[in-house]
Amino acid sequence: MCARREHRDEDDEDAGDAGEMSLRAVFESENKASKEIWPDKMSQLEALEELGLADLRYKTLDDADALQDELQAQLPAIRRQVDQLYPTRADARPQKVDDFWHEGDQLEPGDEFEDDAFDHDDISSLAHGELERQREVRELMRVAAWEMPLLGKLAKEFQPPTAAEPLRFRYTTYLGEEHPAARKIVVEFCPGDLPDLTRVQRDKLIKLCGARYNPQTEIVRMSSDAFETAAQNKRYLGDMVLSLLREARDPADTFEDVPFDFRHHKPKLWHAFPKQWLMTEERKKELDQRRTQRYLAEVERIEKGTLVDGARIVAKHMKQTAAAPEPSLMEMVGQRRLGAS
Amino acid sequence: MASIPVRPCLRRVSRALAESNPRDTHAHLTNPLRRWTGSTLPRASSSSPFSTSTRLAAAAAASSTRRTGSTLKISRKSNAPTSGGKPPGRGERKAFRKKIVLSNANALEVDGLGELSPRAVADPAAHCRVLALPGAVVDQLRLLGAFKPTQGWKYFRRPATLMRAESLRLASVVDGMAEGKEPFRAIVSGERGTGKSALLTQAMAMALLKNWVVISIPDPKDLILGHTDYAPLPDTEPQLYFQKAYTARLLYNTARANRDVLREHTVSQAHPGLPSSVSPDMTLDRFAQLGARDSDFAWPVFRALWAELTKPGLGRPPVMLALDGLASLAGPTEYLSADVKPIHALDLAQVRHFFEQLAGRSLGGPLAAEQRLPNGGAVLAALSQSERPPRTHTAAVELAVAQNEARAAAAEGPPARPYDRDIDHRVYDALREVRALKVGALSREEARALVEYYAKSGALMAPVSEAFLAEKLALAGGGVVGELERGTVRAGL
Repeated sequence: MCARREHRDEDDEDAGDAGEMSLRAVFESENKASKEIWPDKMSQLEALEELGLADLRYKTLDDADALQDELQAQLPAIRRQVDQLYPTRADARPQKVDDFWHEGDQLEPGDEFEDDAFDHDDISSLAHGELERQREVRELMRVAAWEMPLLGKLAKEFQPPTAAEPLRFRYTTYLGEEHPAARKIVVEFCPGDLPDLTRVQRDKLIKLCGARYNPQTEIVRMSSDAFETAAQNKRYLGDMVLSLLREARDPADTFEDVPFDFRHHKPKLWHAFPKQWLMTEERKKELDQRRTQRYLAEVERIEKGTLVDGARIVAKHMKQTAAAPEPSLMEMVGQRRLGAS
Repeated sequence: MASIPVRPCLRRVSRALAESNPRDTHAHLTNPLRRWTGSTLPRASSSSPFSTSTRLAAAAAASSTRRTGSTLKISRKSNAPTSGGKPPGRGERKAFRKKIVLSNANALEVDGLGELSPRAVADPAAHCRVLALPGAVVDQLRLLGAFKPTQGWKYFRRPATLMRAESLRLASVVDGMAEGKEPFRAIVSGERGTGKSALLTQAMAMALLKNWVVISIPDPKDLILGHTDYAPLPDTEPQLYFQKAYTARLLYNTARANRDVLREHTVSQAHPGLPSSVSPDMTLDRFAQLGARDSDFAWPVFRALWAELTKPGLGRPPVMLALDGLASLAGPTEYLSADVKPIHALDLAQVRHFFEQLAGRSLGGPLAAEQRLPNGGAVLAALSQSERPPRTHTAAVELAVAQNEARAAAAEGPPARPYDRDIDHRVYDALREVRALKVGALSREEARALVEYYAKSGALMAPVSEAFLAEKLALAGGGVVGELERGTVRAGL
C-alpha cells in the first residue's frame, strides 16, 4: 500500500511538470474543490488502479470526464472481472452439497471459511497480538493513573470487631470471574469468645466441633460451599453455629466423661531462643570470669604439682614395683604354708 | 597425541608378566617363602582356634596339581574336630556373658580413696568425691543384683562410686528417714548412660549402711518373660497370679543380703496359712529362709514378711524397694490366663505389690492392706534405656515420667493422650503421681573428680588438664557419665 502511495506521489510530480494528471490526481483535485467525498468514485478508481487503467494521462478535467463516462459504461464488466479475480467472503463460502451424504447439513454461523488470501499488505497475527497487548497495557495504565486514585474516596477506617461479633467470616471473590470456589464461606470463632457459656458448655462445644477445633490456636474453623450462592452458605454456617451453641447448652448430656480428642492436630513446635543464652555484656563477663578461674586453678595445680597425670602415676608405680623385687616362688609358697598353719 | 597420559592397564601388565615367565609351576620350590610355608596359598593363621582356614589351605595344597576353578565336590561330613578344643558346656557362654567382675588386680590402688560409711552418707562434704564401697556392702549388693555386667567395675581395684548431686539427695533421704516419715517414692529417669543404675546401687549401699532392709528386683524382665512358673492366686478378684520360684529366689537373696538386720527382729504376729514350724520367737531371717526353702510357701511368707516389716511400733527398720528397668513391667506379659489371654503385668502379685508401693496407694483389688511404709523407707524404680521393651510398654511410663519431670521443674508437661493405643492406662494411672528423679549430666567438678579417679587407678594414661577434661566432656554429651567412661577408660584399653 505504501509503495503504491509513493508511486502516486511521483505521478503527481510528473503531472505537475507535464501539465498532465493521473486519474487519481484528477479525482482528488475535484474532490478538494467540491469538498465532497465520493466514495463510489474512489472505489471505482481503486478498481481501475488494480487493473492498471489508472495510469492513463489526461490533459484536462473534461477529457477525464469524457473518459469517466466511457469507463462508467464499462464498469459492470470490469467489476465482474474484479470479482472473479478477488472473490469476497460471501462468494468464497463452500457450496452446499446437496446429495444423500450431506442431507440435513446446514451451515452453522460458526463454521469455518477459508481465510482471505494474504496480499502482503498487513502485519502478522503475532504482531497484531503484540499490538493488542500494548493497547491493553496502556488501557490499564490509564486506569491506574486516572481512576484508581479515586478509589481512595471509598476507603473506610478499620473497626476491630467488638465482643458482640465473635464470628469471623471469610469470602472469596475472583474479581468478576466465575469460579467454583467463589461461593465458599469460611467461619472462624474462638469458643471462649462465645457469650454465656460455662466452662462445661464450652468444653462440650469443643468436643462437638471435633477436628474443626485447633487446640493450639483455640479456634474453630468451619466452611461451606454446599449451596449455590455465598449468601446461602453463610446462612448455613450461621445456623450451624447456633445449633452447636444450642447443643452445647443442653444439660441433658454434658460430655464430661469424654476426654478431649486432639489427635487430628499435630502441634507445631516452636523453640524460642533461651534468654539465658543471649550473649549480653554481663554474660560475657561471667563467662570470662569463669574461664579465668579455671585457668588460675589449672596454673595452681601445675605449680603445686597436684595435677593428676595418669601416665606419671603408672610410671611411678612401675618404678616402685621394680625396686621391690617380686617375692620368689619359694618365698610365696613358704608364706602360704605359714599362713595356712 | 603425545600429551595424553599413559594409563597403566593392570590386565596388560599382568599379561606381560605372564608372558615373560611362562607357567612357572615350580615357583613354590624356588620362592623361599613359599617353600617354607609349603603352600602356594597364603599361610593360614593358626592363632584362631575356630578358624577353618588351615584345613582349607591344606586341602588346597593337596589338590594344587589338579585344575583350578570350581568343581562339584560331594563328600561325607567329616568328623574331624575343627578346633580341637572342648566346646563350651551348657550355660557357660551365658555365665561368661553375665559374669560380674568387681576387682582388677592390675589396676592401681588409689591413694586416699575414701570409703562410703554411715557417717559419709550424712556428710554433704562428700560431694564430688569418689568413695569406695565397703567390702561387706559389696557382698550384699552382689546378692541384691546391684552390679551389672556392662558397668565398668572390672577396670578398677575395688568398686567405688562418685558422690554426685543426685547421690547426695538420696543420701539425705536415707539419712533423714525415721519412723512415721513419709517414704520416698521415685522413678529414676534420665538419658542413656547417665548413671541411673549406678545411682540405684549407691542408694542401696547407703540404705544397707544405715541398716535398712533392702529388697531388690534387679532384672524385672524375669518376671514377665514366662521363664518362671506361675499359678493363679486363690480368692482374688480380679484374678492375680503368683510366681513361687521367683519369690523364693527373691526371699533367699533378701534374707542373705539383710541377714544381720533381719536377725535382730522376730515374728510378732500369727500368720494363718503358714506351716506350724513358724514360732513367735523365730527371727525374720529364718522366717524368710523358710519361704526361700519351700517355694510352695514363698508367696505367703513374702506377704507375711512384708507385714512384719511394715508393722509400726516395734522398731522395725526402714525398707528400701528397688527395681531396675521399670518399663519391662508396664504392659502385658508372656503369661496366659485360663482363657488364653495375655496376663497384664499388674495382675502378677509380685509386680502389683511393687507398683502399689511405688504409687503409695492401692491399685484396686485385694492387695491393698499395707500400702504405707510406717517405719519409713524408699521405693525406687529406675528406667533402663539400653533395654527398651516395645512402645506399648514404654509409652505409658515415658508419658508419666515426662509429666512428672515437668511438674518437678514447674513447667508444662506433655498432655495426657487418652486415645493413644500404645498407652497402657493401668500403668499410666499407677505412675501418674509418682515423682520423677531425673539424672542428668555430671557437673564439671564432678567430672573432674571422676576422671582424676580414673587416672589415679591407672586406667587413664593422660594428665587431667582443663583442656583434656573439656574435650572429654564435650565428647561425652556434656557430662553423660557412661560416655565419659567410654571416652576415657574404655577408649584407652
